[in-house]
Amino acid sequence: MTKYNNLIYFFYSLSTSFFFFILLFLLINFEKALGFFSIFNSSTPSLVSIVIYLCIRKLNFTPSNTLMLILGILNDIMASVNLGVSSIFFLLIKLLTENLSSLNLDNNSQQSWFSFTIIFSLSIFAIVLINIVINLSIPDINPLLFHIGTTLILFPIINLAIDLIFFISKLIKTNP
Amino acid sequence: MVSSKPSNKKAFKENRNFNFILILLCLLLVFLGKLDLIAMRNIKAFLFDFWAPVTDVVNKPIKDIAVIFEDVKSTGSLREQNLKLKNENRKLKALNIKAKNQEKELLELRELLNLLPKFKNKIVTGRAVTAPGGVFANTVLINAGRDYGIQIGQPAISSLGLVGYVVNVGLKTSRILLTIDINSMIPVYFNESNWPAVAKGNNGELLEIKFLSSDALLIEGETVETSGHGGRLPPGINVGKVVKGFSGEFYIKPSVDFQRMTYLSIITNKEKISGNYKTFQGFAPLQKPKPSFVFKGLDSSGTRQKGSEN
Repeated sequence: MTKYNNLIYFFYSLSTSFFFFILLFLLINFEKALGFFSIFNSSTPSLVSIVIYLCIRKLNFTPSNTLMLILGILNDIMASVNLGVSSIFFLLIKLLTENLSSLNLDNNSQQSWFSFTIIFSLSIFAIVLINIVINLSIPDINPLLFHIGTTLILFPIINLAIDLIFFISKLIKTNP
Repeated sequence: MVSSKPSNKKAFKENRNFNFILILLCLLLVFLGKLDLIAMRNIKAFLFDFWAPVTDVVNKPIKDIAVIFEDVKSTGSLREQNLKLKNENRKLKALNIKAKNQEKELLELRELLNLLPKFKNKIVTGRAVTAPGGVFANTVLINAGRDYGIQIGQPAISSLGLVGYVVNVGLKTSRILLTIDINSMIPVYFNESNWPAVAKGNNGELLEIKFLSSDALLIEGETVETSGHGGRLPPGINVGKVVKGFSGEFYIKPSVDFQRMTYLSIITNKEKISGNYKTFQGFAPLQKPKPSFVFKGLDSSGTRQKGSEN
């Protein structure tokens, strides 16, 4: 019986991960396609990092490390960056968010935004350092600041939207 | 595939260790990728080919929406644009007459010098599948590859000038490194001040000027073209204009609008115009003299001219 239960759990987790993979893959494509808009001329916001953070903190769903690795490599292929750079970024976001979750901090929207800012900034700083070491030159800071700025502006909007969805679904459940 | 919940302390610790190991592995992968191994390049090219149709399908609706947005934005300034275009048209008409006369003169001079003919470029045009924007890389994927004769290192151009060069080729797709990318270096020539240099991308809007002689005095607004040094890129392709930065340093502003690239052309090979030019007869072109102050009766080397003694 336990064997069957394990098998069912394995397939359940596999299907959840597959669904999450498809979702993030489409999101990566969407993120890249935003570059066609003149407002995102220099760089596009990192929507994937927001989704990873909110999944761990709000939905209590922890994506696997392997999934992060594969998604990062796919992102690198699409952006033609050195293979492994985005994987490090996603793995760092996941690692730091998990560590934050283990601290059991209050999950209000202000604190959430503040903790995301720290996690995102630390991860992007690590990636910038790696890129400087690889290219042996310092890149232009404007696209980088735009990337960080737009991501941090979009975070509370997405966070609020998820809260609103939760609120509406709760209302529907309580008032049939 | 889903990792265990953080409530399980042991599993959480194991998961974190695995995360660390993967980060280290990725770091190794990054440095391996920098070695530019042929196997790695081939894998990348295969994956570009594999994912390009998917990316194209997903990007299409967003690309169309972006076009609609741009169209709506431009309708507000239609009157302004019309006036601007009328003025530009008048100026261009005058310039056209001037250019025709100069072209005629140039052809006569070429004939007089018995100059070797220019190479005729063969061009392949492809559609841009991805958008160019990125923090760490500025590349574009086009839907033409090895089957159209595209090879690594070939220049990509648009109607406005140089866009970049091919860095990876698959069977059906090619990846173009834009001139603004941090890894791009283009040998250029300043048309008015007559100095060669290297234009280096910086992931920003402007190109840095490297390996420029300390004697060089650049002119703001002068045009910059590819010099052809090194033999990788053909000479004479428009790169941009010289602009002055806030710090007083000179930069090159690319003439190409990277945001509005829909189609890109790759110069695939050169076909020589028929004719026997082995028997080269004529005068060698004189080098442009160094701009220096010369006294009357003395030549540029400072020695007295023969005619001036009389």
